[in-house]
Amino acid sequence: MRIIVLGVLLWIPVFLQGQDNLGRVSFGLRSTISMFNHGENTVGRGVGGQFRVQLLDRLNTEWFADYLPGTLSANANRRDYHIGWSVMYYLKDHDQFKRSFLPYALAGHCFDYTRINVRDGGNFNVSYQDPNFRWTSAIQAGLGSHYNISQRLDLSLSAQYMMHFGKHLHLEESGNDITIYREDHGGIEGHLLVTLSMNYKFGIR
Amino acid sequence: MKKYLIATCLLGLMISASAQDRIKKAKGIRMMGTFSPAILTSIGEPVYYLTGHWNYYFNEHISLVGEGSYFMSSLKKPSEITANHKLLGGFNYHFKSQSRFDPFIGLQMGIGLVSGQSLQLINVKRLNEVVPLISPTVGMNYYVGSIFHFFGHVRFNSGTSLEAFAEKRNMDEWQLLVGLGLNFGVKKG
Repeated sequence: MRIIVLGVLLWIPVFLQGQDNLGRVSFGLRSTISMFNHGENTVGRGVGGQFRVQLLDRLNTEWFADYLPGTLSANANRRDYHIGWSVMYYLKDHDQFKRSFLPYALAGHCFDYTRINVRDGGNFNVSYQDPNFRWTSAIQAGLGSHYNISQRLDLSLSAQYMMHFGKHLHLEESGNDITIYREDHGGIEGHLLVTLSMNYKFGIR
Repeated sequence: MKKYLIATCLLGLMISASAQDRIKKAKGIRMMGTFSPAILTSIGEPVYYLTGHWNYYFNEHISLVGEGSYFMSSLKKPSEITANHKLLGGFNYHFKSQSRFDPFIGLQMGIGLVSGQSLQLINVKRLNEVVPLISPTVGMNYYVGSIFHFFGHVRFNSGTSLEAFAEKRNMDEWQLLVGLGLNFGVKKG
C-alpha cells in the first residue's frame, strides 16, 4: 500500500509538468440565494467569500464560506453557515481566460451549521425538545459559468443542489405554540443554491 | 452668482487638467470620505451615512474596493430604523486606461448591521442583525492631478432584514456618493 501511495505521489510532479496554470490562485466575494429549502417554500439570501486554487488546465478548486439567513415562517427564522469546497471541471479550454463565457461543472462537500431563532416580541409558547441548532455534512453538485470581464477578473454564476446528511431540525407551529425538535433518524434534505461571485486571479502571465 | 463662479472655476480646472498628461492609476490607491444620502426604496425613507471608501488599482482596468458606511440618521422623524451600518468589499472594472476620466462599473458584497425600534410597542427588544448585502455600482472619477480627484458614484444596496423590525423588511436602497477624494501612487504619465 505504501509503495502505491509513494508511486502516485512521485508521479504527481510529472503529471503536472507543462500545466501553465498550476497553482493559480483567485479570490472573491460571493452572494448566494438558497431556494426550496428542505421542502419549505422559503428563500434565503446570503453572503460569503471564497478562493480558488487551479490544479490543472481544466481543473480548478473552490473553497468557500457562506452565511445564509432565511425565514421559516412569520414567527421564526433560520440561519445556515456553510464552509466547504468544490472541484470545478472546465467544459471548454479556458484559452488563458480570454474566452468570455467559460462553463464548468462542479461538485464538492461542505459542513453546515444551522440555527433556528424564534422572533422576539410575539406571544408564543416556545418549547425546545432539542437544541435549536445542529451540525451536518453535505455534498453539492451543479453547473456554472465564468464571464471573464478580463483575464484576471471574472463574474461567475453557478447553480448547485446541496444535500445535507444528518438529523433534520424542524419547527412546528400550532396556534401560539411553537415546538423546535430534531428528527430521531438521519436523512437527506436538500436545497438549491444559486451563487454569484466576482473573483480576481493572481499569477496570470 | 457664487454658484456660477464655482462651476466656472471647476470647469476651467478640469479643462486645464485635461490638456495635460495622462494619469497612470495602476498600483495606485484612491480614498475618500463623504456624507452620502440614500433612500430606502420599500418605504421611501431618506437616510444619510458617513462613508469611507478606498480602491486599490491592480492595473488600469481592475481595482479592489473596500467601503464602510456609518448610519447617521433618518430624515423621517420618528423612524423605526436606529442603525443600518454597512461593510462592503468587491471589485470595479474601469473602462478607460490612463485616462483622467475614469468611468467604471462594480459589484460589492458585504454585510449590513441593522437594528430597529417599534414605534408602537415600548418594551419590545429588537435584535441587532447582520444582513447580507449585494451592491452593484456605477460611477465616474475624474483625476484632476496625482493628488486628488472628484467622484460621483451611484449604488443599489440590496438586503432584507428578518429580525430587527416587527416584520421582515426589505432594506433595498439607492445611495449616492459625491465629493473630492485623495490619491496615492497615482502618477502623471
